[in-house]
Amino acid sequence: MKKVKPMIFVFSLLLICFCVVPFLYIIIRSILDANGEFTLEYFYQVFLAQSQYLLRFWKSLALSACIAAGQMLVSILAGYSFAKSKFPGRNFVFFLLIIWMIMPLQVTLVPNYLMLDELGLLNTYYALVLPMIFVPLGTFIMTQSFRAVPNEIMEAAQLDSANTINVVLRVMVPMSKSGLVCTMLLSFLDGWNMVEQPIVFLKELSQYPLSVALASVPPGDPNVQLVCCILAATPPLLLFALFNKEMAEGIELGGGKAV
Amino acid sequence: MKRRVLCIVCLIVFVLSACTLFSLKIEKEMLIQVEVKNVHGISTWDETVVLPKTVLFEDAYGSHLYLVVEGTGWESGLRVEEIRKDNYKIDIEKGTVSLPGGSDYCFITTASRQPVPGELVEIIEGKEIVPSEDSFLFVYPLGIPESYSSTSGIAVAEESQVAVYGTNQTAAEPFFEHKEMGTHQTMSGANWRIFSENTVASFWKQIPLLLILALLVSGVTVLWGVSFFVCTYTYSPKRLFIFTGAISISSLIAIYVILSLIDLPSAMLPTTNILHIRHYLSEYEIMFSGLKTLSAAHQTFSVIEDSVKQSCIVTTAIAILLTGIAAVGEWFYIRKE
Repeated sequence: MKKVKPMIFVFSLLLICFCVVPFLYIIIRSILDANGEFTLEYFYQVFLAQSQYLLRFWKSLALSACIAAGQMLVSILAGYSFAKSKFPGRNFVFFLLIIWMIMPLQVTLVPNYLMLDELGLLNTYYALVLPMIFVPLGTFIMTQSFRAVPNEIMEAAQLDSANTINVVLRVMVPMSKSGLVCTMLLSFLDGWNMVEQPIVFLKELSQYPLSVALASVPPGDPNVQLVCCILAATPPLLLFALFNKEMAEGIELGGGKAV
Repeated sequence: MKRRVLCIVCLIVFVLSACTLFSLKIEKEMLIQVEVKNVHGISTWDETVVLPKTVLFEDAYGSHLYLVVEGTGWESGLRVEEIRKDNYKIDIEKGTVSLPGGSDYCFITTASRQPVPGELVEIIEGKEIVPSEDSFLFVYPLGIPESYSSTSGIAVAEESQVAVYGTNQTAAEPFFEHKEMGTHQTMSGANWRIFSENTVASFWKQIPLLLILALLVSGVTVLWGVSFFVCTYTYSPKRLFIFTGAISISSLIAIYVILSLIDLPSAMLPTTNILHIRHYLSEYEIMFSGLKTLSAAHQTFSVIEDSVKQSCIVTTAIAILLTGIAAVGEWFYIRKE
């Protein structure tokens, strides 16, 4: 086994501490009261005493799941087109997609607002879900995943009289599982952590998902806010624990050969 | 490894779902019921609002005067707000509380239990209260005072040095201890308490249902724990997850049904945390400190207590048996594979 230099070891340890210590702080403060004694009172306040925290949690989960499902569908179809179909301007359109992908969210916030206002979707959950479904990152990842699938397999399926939908669903998607999982995870995290869109597109405090509502939890007891942070961190942690291998493979594929 | 993580994920989803159902019910149960007095039209600070002294709530920290106000944001809804002691005067001789006008007030005159500032309330004024027969236990920890005399509403059945047991033909439901203390002022004493037999019996009879809820959650947790250890020994864990998942979903449905049957009397609940076991134990202690000096009343309450204990033992035994059968069944099924 290769020996690690002491400086690199110390630096890595420091880096880990910077990442892990805030989480440890949250957990420790949430189980200790003002006198430093162990208590579950704050967990009771968040999980049992009031339903508003958990109801917001399920609402946010449903929103994120809808965003992830919608983005996966759009990404599969668009990714197949970019990877395997030859149409005029394909490279140019893909280039525009990459430009759109690296643009900050704030650039498209106002155009989205105007469009949603015209459609009469402001102050509804469609305003959060629809723009997020068409985010280009998923399409980019699926394009790279589908490019890795050999054309011969596709042609063999077509020889067996499979139509395009069958080829996509029964050949391409099963062979690009890691890319699909990566797309699902990243789009779920995007939806779970969104802050600007709810603030801009929604008016009522009761409609805000957990990511936004956390900031306005009554500051009467900061330990309650810390327990809310644990609640908010739970779905991403669990998803990462389930799919960390596929996510790493998907990101690796996404960083592969570009156009 | 992934199977084990999936077991943990399923368990967390089950616990969060159960907590959601519990929190909806606890929020409703902990909603304090109040009667209010609206004072409108006192538009100038020169004028004075005068209230009877019975609107004050006493506790270990002194007297408190409460209002109902409309909250906003996270704290929306009708909530309790306490008026600062500097802002009102108590006249002990006249038995009144006075404070300056200047705005509309909605005072809490009586409540099902001691209000806590900031908590949600349900105003029951205006709703028809049907009087019914009830028995009251008056407990005087420092002994019955010399000035004691029973009111006309109470037919005293039994009396001792520290307790009085009597029947009230026109007792209002729900039972408000603070209101009854105001009604039976002539029976007042230092640190005295009033317990309603109907309320106590209603609370105790629901203890087996609460126990079933606790056992359902524990049982499903145990099953997922067994699945956690057993899932790596099977070639195809699909059936295991389907079996435990089906039991979890059935348990959630059962929890929902049982919660809809539960209706805990507000007078028996603690002020802040419904799981505050010490509160229930201290209430039990106070009640039985008076009951043990009264033979007939003690027998009545003991009969209820014994039947509840028997139900709890039988329920616990059945739940442990069923959980054990399910867990052992899972283990043997996996070993057979």
